[in-house]
Amino acid sequence: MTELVNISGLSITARLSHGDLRLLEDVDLDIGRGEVVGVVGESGSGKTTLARSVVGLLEKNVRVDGGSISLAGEQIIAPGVDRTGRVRGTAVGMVFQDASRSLNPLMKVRAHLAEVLRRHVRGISRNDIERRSVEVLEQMRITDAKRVLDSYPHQLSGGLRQRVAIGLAVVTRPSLVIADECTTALDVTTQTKVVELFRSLVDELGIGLLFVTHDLMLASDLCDRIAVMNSGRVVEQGPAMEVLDRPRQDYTQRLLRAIPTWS
Amino acid sequence: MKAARLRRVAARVGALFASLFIALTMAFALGRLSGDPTANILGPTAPPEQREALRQQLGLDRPLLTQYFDYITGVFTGNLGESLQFYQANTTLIFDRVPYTLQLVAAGMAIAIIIGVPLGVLAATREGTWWDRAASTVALLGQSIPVFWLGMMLVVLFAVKLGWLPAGQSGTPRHLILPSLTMSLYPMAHIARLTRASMSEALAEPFIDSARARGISRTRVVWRHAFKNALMPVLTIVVLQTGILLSGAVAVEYVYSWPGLGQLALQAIQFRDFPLVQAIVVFGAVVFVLLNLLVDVIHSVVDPRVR
Amino acid sequence: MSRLELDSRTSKGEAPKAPKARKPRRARTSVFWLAMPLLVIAALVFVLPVTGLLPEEGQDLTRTRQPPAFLSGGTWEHPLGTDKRGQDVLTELVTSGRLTIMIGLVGALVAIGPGVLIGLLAGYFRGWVDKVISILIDAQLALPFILIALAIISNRGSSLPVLFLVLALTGWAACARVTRATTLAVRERQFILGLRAVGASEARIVFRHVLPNLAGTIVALGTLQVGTAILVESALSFLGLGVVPPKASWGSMLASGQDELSQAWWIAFFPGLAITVLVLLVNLLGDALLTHHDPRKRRR
Repeated sequence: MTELVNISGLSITARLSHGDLRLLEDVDLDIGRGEVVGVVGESGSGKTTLARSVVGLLEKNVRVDGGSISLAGEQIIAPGVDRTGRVRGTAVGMVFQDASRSLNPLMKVRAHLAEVLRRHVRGISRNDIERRSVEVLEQMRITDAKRVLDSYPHQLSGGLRQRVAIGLAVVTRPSLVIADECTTALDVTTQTKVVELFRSLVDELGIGLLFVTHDLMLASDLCDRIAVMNSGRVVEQGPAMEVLDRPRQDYTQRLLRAIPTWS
Repeated sequence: MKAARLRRVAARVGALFASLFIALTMAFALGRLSGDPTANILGPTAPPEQREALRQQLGLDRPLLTQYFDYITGVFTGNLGESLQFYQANTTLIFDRVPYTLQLVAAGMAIAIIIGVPLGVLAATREGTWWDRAASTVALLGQSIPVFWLGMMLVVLFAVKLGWLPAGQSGTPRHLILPSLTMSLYPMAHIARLTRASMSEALAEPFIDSARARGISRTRVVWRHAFKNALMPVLTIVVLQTGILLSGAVAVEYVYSWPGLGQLALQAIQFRDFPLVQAIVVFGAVVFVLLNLLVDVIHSVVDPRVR
Repeated sequence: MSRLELDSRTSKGEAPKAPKARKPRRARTSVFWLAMPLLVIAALVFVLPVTGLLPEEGQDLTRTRQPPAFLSGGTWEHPLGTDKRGQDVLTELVTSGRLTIMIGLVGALVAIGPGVLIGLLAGYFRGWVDKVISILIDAQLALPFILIALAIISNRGSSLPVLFLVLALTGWAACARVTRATTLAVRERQFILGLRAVGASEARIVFRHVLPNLAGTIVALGTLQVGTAILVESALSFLGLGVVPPKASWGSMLASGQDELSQAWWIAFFPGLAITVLVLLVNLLGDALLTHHDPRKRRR
């Protein structure tokens, strides 16, 4: 498995009026092509900051003050360096928590797709836009792609919206997709379908997937490897089965114990 | 879906008509219930017979309900009575002046939008910076200056001292510059403040981050994604401020001797032309209600969610 | 303008993000720094005439249209110059400032009083009371203030009581609207629901528990209304429809300066400047108070 993303020693700080706050402390994480890496942790553990830092979507008062992120060997984030503008929407696609709010309510699905394609595929024809839009929606297991293209986000169901959002992230054929809590707003059945969709996308397209969630069970279903985060640090990482079956850290054990079981 | 939409529209139009009706009734009540206007029109020393004659001429001797009924039917048939000083139909007098005021309002609103909207966007995209504070202060200042005073000072500076522009009257585009600049200040301030608030709310929406994550250019994110979503309150205020400008025109038209509706209203008051004043009030109320209706129409065009 | 408030979407249910930079809590100090100059202005206007430091009042036809001291031809005897009857502009400014400030305060009270009461009733009792009041508010806001002013003044002439009537009629609706919205929110808070559950009387709940919770908003609204009242008064007086001679306000000073613009611009300049500064300070203070009491705005 070739390496796609290399995060090493990443430290990020937020400057607040009453002092600095460490958001990430010395984070190391690798993602390979065709690999799904889950990042789990509670609210405020830094997992969302980690996900957003890969695409450079950090608040203005937040600064990278150590370490780096490289994508396919090229450094995109380091102290004072932010080359994420080049990879956003091309090499990296991102899916957000709540598709009812991460899609522009005033734009049809078609306009969303056309906008990204026009931006990233130079000189693309109108026919090609249409063809690729339908293609990607069908890839998302959407059967009536034409109708969905002509819909506004509010006219679609939650699951459909999230699949459109995933389609938007992969339509430009990125090598890395970041999913930030993208199943949280969905009901359990829809969650399962989205997870299955992700799995097949990874297998078909050979992309790397960074899957951020607070749901350990979900992560164990989907991910090859899991990193557990707590207060800005990666406290444990390894193959999913290993982390879940033989957690080495107290923190992970506590997280696991918090999951209700049937027995 | 269709039926529900139709019902919504019907309810909205109904509410507007209710609002118009109440506004008309208030105008009527303010005119009649605050006392006998003939004393004010003719002066306190006028003989009773003369006042009686005027009362008859104005129809004030009839029962209040009959007066009210005639008044309402008059409004809906376009008959707003006759002026006491010009001996002409009030509607004719009003519509003769409307083009002048409209010119002023259109030019003023255009300036207000052209300056106010970018100012608000600038402040919102640079929230918390020096730019933001400067823009907000300018906007607040604009809402604190007496408009007519600004007009007077512009006259002193550009007409009296520098002699660049005419101080009053109308006719050429040069005559329009100072009055429309004066007119634009208040709505400009209002538009800037509202645009800033609305934009900063839109920029905080998750779909903005998501558009940025897709690599959409900053200009496009700001204008196409954020601004379009922030537009509705701004459009609303533009339309409503247009209505307010119509009334703000009174002082500005007075300063610049601009022959519009505002001057007509002042003349009507000075000559105690009671029917004309009432006609102007009614005209203003109708315009305002129509503008409100326009806001609803625009809303349904811009936002697919309310269609 | 209700749709603006109704449309504003509040953010909810977001994933935990990096904390935003929070501004230091400056609200209290900024309120102080804005209230200070206002107090100074009030003190000047009310105390200065008593000190005898001002040039004496009264007309003097030997010294008409003297420019202010900083222009050539001006003297320090009349720092801001004199008007067409030879009255000292500074003295006039100070004496007519009293009426202006008084009208601002009373004008705000007569709008806030009924506005708050009506909004409170609508927000607390809801149902048909709310419906009727809401329609009335909409209708009132559909009539621009100048139209109401024209309708009343054309009938009653201009006097202080008429001016206050105009200010009350044009101001109550906006106050009622905000009070109504705030009351609706307060009404749903746990402790009010609790009081209702234990059977406290409606009147007691409204006046002892709901009203005090609105106090901050009402004070802020009242402050902003003072600015509005001063601007409305100055516009009407300028048109000769508000304060008319022999009474004088800053607005009526402007009116008398209008004819002198080409020869003696300072007669109109200083009262207008005074209005601008006063209203700007009042608006800044009102904004600061509003931010202070609106947690949603404070977060920004």
